[in-house]
Amino acid sequence: MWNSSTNEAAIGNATPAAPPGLRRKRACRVISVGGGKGGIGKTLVTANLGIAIAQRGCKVVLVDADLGGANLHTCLGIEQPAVTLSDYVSGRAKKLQEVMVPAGIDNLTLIPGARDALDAANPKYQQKSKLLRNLIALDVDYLLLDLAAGTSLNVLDFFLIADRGLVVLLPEPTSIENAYRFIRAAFFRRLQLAKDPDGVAELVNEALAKDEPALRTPYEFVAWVKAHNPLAAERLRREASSFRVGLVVNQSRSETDQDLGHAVASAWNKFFGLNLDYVGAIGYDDDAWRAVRNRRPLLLDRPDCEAAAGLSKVADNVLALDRRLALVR
Amino acid sequence: MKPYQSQNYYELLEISANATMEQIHSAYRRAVALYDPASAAMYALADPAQVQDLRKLLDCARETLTDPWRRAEYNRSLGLPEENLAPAQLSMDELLRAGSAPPRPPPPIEHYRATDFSDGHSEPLPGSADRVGPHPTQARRGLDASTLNGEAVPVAVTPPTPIRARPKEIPADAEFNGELLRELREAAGLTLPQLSERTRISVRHLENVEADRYDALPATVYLRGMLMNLARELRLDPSRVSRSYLALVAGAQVKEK
Repeated sequence: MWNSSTNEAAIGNATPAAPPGLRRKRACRVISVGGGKGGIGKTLVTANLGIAIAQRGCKVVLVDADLGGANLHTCLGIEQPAVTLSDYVSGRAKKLQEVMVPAGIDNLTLIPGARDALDAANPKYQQKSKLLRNLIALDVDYLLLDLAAGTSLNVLDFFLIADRGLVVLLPEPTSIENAYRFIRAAFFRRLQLAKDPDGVAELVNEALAKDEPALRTPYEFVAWVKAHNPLAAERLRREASSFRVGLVVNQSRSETDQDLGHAVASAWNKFFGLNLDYVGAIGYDDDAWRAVRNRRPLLLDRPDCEAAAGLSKVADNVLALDRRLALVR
Repeated sequence: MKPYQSQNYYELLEISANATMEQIHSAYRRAVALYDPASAAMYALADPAQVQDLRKLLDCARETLTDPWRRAEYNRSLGLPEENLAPAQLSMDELLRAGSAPPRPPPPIEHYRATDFSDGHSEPLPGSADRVGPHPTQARRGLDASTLNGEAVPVAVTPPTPIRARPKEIPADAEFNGELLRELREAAGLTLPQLSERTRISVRHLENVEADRYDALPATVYLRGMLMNLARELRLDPSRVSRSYLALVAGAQVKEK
């Protein structure tokens, strides 16, 4: 697990000036899968979502952005790849295409994560910007990013370049707590990275440094900024409202668990003033861990099991939301 | 951005403006279960005072919307079109269940609504339609891709009508300072500890409010919540009280500088 203070040091003060990914020319749709807590099935969801979308005829690239603990290849049943993202980040591979490996499924390609190299988990800011820029410029229909656990800036920045961030959630207090923290951190990071004609970044930094309970939610924060700078607050409000996150409940065991997605979205809206989209629940299923143990993707290994059905539904819902997103643009 | 403090009763319950009595009741039950401090989704999300505040609002919402006359009055205050107004749209069955025997004059409503933390006025409401939560029956019909497009019937909301002054002894331009709040509390026959227990606001905070010790009070966002809470308990108009009191606080801060 990487250390967030190292990341902050590596990223330095350059952050507010250079928002990665915002207002770019897009070559594809980007979906990132995060959730704060480890072991909640982010990788499993990413791998199978990638397969489901590829099976629906879209060209998909999966990116293992969990640079410190990459195992997306294992979920897909691919042997440890010879080249990885680490080779690209360090400059040994000149082009992203050199580190792309076929995933053994039509339309699906993998960019495997880093391995071994100690520094690979903590790319320098310039390296990261270059990586993000080139990832989103790939000529594919869907780019899916599997993120690491935690709320370090690297994780958040990968999360935020996406058109749609998915947060995976288990029906457990630990996971719910981390998911809230993760979404909140991503929100504030997004505001920090917003283009900044009004000195918003400074206000964000000031507010974060204060760590007052009254500034905990995006809504309270915007109200606070409004007192200092109404113009900036209006821009932040717009920025905040355009921040869309989808929720996936994993390992649901009951109807109450499935309802958790609605409940969390509803509660988040009430207290934070922001909308979340619930995109579906994946049932707890012994077949899911059997598939992981066999190192075979669930959707290929046991396409008829309950969890696979849930994953397919999530894929359909994500695509449906995406079509809506496309209409809005 | 529209958190619970600025949502109208329909938005709070996540129902459309023409929801049936049944839908209101079931939405209320669902909301009460969800915003129970012990509910899974609430873990680590909000502080207990806010949850308490929200639960009170949900109670107000149910009480108002399940009484056809009060609902009609409330709809009117939201500026809903006349044909949307209860009780004309209610079935006789629902009227009977609501236990109201029309005609009787509509009682004055305990009016609480949309207030923006930042300036004490309601949110800019045009365009609020997309922020209205999904209709529960749509949201809970399972997650078919088709239902994702299902939006709630937008509640067309206009700025609130001026709130009628409730008790005759409070003049329309009264300043709700600590002293007046204390008098009103005493008139209501409440001691500080009693009020504290009802509002879940600490006695210390209440004392500071009544003594106008602005420096000792919590940050505005919290103070507003407290004042609204306090006002509701004293059966005053929450937004008016908080706006008035916060103006005093702001004035004092300006003077200091």
